[in-house]
Amino acid sequence: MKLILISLFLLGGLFFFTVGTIGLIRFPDLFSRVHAAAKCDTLGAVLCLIALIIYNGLAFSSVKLLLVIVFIWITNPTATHLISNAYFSSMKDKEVS
Amino acid sequence: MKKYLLSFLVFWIFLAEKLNLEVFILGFVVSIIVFILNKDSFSFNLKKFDTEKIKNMLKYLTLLIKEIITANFLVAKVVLSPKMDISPEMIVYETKLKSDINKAILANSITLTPGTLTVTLKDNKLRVHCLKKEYIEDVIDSKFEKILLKMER
Amino acid sequence: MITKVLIGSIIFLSITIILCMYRAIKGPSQADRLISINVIGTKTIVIISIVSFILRETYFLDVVLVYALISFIASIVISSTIKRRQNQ
Repeated sequence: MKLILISLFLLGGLFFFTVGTIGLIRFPDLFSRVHAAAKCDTLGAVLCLIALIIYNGLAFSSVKLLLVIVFIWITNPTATHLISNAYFSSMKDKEVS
Repeated sequence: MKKYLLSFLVFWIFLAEKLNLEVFILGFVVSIIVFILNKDSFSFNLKKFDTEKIKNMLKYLTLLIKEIITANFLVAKVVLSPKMDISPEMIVYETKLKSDINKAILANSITLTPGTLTVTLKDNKLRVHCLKKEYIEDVIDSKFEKILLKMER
Repeated sequence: MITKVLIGSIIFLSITIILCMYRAIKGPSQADRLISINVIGTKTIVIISIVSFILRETYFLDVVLVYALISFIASIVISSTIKRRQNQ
């Protein structure tokens, strides 16, 4: 039972990671690539770590994994926002000059 | 001040993975040092939490999780379809939110919702990039902003 | 049995990291490279935490926390460097 649940979560996480990677390669411009990277990465990592929490059960290391999940949830959108912001300002400079 | 020290101590014990006298004393000293170094960062007070606010936070969290899952399936559908029908577009959107931290939360939530991405955030103007034209409506009357406005009062 | 599933998922994640490398090497602009490096960092976090459960060593989770912090700070610093260089 536990094995099935863990495999389900892990497979979901791996699927979203794969989708993010394919999107990163296939999309034509940077902003669309950021779309694929920001969303799929967040959900994929969170699903994989939830599978590990189920595997570990109730312990101190599960709390640490939960901490990592919250951290990824906050920082991943922020980092992608900053990268797209940097690209946007460079794009504007090129159009002006 | 006591609440911050206590929360730092609990955090330290979770990191140490065990509970004995050494860990407790070392954690106490470290949390006092961290508190003194970061005195200016703790401007908002924790006392303002009440049941109404916590209810709104839970509502926000469930809505966010639902939106993230729909967003991921949408991106998967666009990526895996053989011919990509995307028409990227940028709009400028004004928020009514006042405090900086709520603006940051709204910008991050917009990044995680289907088909939209925050590019710049200046004063109260958000520049939002959309993967397709239909998703613009979702940003203009966003449910996130309503809940955040309720929380701000 | 469960160890085999975990090992298989590590191999799969490594293959997707190699695919991400393509964008990091080829990417037309610096921001493209940075976004793919960010994706690789997230995948590395997941891989290290899976390895810690295969080896049954919980101290790897501290490594995961520090790695997450460092990769976030690296993304911020490099993106602000790109911005500053463009403004000059």
